[in-house]
Amino acid sequence: MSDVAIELTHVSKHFGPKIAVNDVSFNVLKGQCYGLIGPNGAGKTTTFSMMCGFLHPTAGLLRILGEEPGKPGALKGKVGVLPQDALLPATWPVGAFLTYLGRLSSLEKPEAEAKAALERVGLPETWGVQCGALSHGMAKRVAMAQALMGSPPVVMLDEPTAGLDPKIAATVRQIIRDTKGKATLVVSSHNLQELEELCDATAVLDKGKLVAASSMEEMTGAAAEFRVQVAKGFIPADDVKVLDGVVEVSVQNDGKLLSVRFDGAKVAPEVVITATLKLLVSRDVLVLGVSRGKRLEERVLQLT
Amino acid sequence: MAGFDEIGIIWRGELVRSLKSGRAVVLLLLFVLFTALILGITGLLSYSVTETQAKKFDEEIEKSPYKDDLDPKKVAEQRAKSTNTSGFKKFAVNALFAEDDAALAEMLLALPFMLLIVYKLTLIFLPLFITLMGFDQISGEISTKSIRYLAVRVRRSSLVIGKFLAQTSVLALLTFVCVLMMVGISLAVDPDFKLGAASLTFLKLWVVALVFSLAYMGLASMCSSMFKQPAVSLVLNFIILFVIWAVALIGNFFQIPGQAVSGMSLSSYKSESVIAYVRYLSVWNYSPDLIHPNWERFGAAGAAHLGFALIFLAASYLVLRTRDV
Repeated sequence: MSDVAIELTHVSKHFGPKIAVNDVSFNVLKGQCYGLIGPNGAGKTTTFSMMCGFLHPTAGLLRILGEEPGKPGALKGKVGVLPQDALLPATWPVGAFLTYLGRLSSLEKPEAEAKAALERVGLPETWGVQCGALSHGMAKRVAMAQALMGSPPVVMLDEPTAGLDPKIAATVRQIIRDTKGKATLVVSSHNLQELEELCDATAVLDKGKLVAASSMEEMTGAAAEFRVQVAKGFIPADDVKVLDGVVEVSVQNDGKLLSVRFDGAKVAPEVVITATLKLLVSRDVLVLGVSRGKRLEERVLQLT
Repeated sequence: MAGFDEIGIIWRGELVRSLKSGRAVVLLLLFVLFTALILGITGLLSYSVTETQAKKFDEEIEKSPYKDDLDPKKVAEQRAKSTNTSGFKKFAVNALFAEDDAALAEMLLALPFMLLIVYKLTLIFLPLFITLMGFDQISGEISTKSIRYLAVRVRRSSLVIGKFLAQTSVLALLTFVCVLMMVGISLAVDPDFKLGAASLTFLKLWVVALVFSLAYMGLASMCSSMFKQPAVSLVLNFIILFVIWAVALIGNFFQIPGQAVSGMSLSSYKSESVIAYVRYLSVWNYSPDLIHPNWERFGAAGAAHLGFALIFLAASYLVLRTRDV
C-alpha cells in the first residue's frame, strides 16, 4: 500500500503556444496537508485543475490514490474539491443542490450528509435558499460544504479564503484545521501566513515551473527570522551578529526593533532566540516582546 | 451499473431544474402561442375560402333568371359541393406532403386539413425551438465552471446522456400539450373527425414529434459541448440546422438517376443527377416518412433519426471527454 496520495511526474500543460505548467513533479503523502504556492500566473490553479481532472495534462503522469484523474469516474467518492471561481447553479436551492451532489457521489444518506456539511460550515439556515441569492462568503462556504460532504479521503481547496472577510476566513481555516488528519488536504493559496500555519509540506511554483517542494520545516528553516521589540536600552547589533547561526541583523524603528535572520537548518529557533535575549538582558536592554517572522513569505520571495 | 445510477440522478435533477426554471415555461408559452397562431391563421383561411365560394354561389343563383324554378334541395346539394375544399386539399396534400405516394396521401387526406398544415408547420419550427431550449445545456455550465462540481463526481458520458434525457422529457411534455391542443381543436371544429380517430392520431403525431426531435436534441447537445460560450454554441447550432435543411433541399431539387416517377408528380419536372444522393446525408430528408402508414417506411425513418441522434450524442461525448472544463 503506497503512502503517496497524489503523484505528479513531469506534468506539463500547454494552452496553445502558452506553457502554463512545465515539467512539474512532486508527491503528496497520505494524511498530509499540502500547500500550493506561487505568485499570480505561476500555474497553481492549472496544476490544481489537472489534479482534479478538470484539465488534461499535455504531458506527464498524474495519479490521485493510484488513479488517473481524467479516467471516467476515477475520482467519484474519493475526492472533494473546492474549485476557484466555479459558480453555484443560481436556481438550485442550497439543500437540494448539496443533496443532488451527495447522490452523485453515491453517499448512503445524501440529505443527512448535506445537512451535516452545512452545519459544519455554519450555514444550516441556508438549506432552502437559492444559491444565486447567497453572498460571496456564504457561497464559498456552501462550496466548501460540498467538498467536505461524505468525508472523502482527498480534499482539494483552491483559494479557500480568497475574498472572505477576516471572520469568515478564520471559520474556513478552522474547518481546514478540523479536517487535518482525517483526509489528505491540498490547499492552493496566496495567503502564505495561512499556509505556513496549516500545511505540513508545500510546493512553490513560479512561471509554470516547480522551484521548490519540501516539508514546511525544511522550506521555512532556511529563511528563519525573529524580531525583538525593545522598550529601552541600546541594541548591540554587532554582538548579536556573531551569535551561532545568525545570518543577518538589522535595527529599525529608531533602535526599538531588532530583526534577526538565522539559518534554521543549522540552529534551532529556540536556541538562537534564547541566546539573543540573554545577550540583550546582560546589556540592560528592556525587552517588550518577541515574534517569529514571516518565514514562508521570506522564503517564497527568495525563490520567486 | 453505477453509470446508469448517475444517468438517472442527473436526468431527474436536470428535469426538475428545467421545469422549475422560467425558461421552460416561457418556451412552452411561446410554442403554444405559435401553435395557436398557426391554428388561427389556417382556420381563418379555410373559413374565408369556404365563405367566398358560398357567397359566389349565392350571387350566381341570385342573378339566375330561373332562380324561382330551381329545386331548393338540389341547390343546397350544389352549394355544398361548390364550397367543398376536398379538391384543393387533395391537390395540396399530393403536391406538398405525399408526392408519388398513394398510401401516404390516403392517410394524410383522412386527417383534418387544418391539423395537417399546423402539424407540418410545427415540425418545421421544432428544430429551432429545440435549439433555443438546449443550446446552453453544457456550455452554460462550462462558462460558469459549475460543471466542475459534477465533473469530479460523475462520468462525462453520464452528464451528456442525463442532460439529453432531461431535455427529451421536457420536450415530450411540451409536444404533448401542443399536439393535444391541435387535435382537440380539430376534433371540435371538424365533425367528420371522430374521437376514436382523434385519439389514435394524437398518439401517432406525438410519437412522431418525439422521434423527429431526437436528432435535433443530439445536435444541440453536440454544439453545446463544443464551446465555452453559450452564444457561440447557439450560432453554430443554427448554422448546422440551415446546412441540414440546405442539403435536403439541394438533394431533393434533383431526381435520383434511374428512379421511376409518376408523370403527374413534381419529380417528373426534376432533372436526374447524382447530386440527388446528398439528400441522404441530411436527417431532414427522412422526416416525411415518420408519418407513413407503412411500418417499414416509418421504421426506416425512425431508425435514421435515432442514428443521427446517436452520432450527434457520441460526438458530444467525445468532445466533452477530451476537452478541458
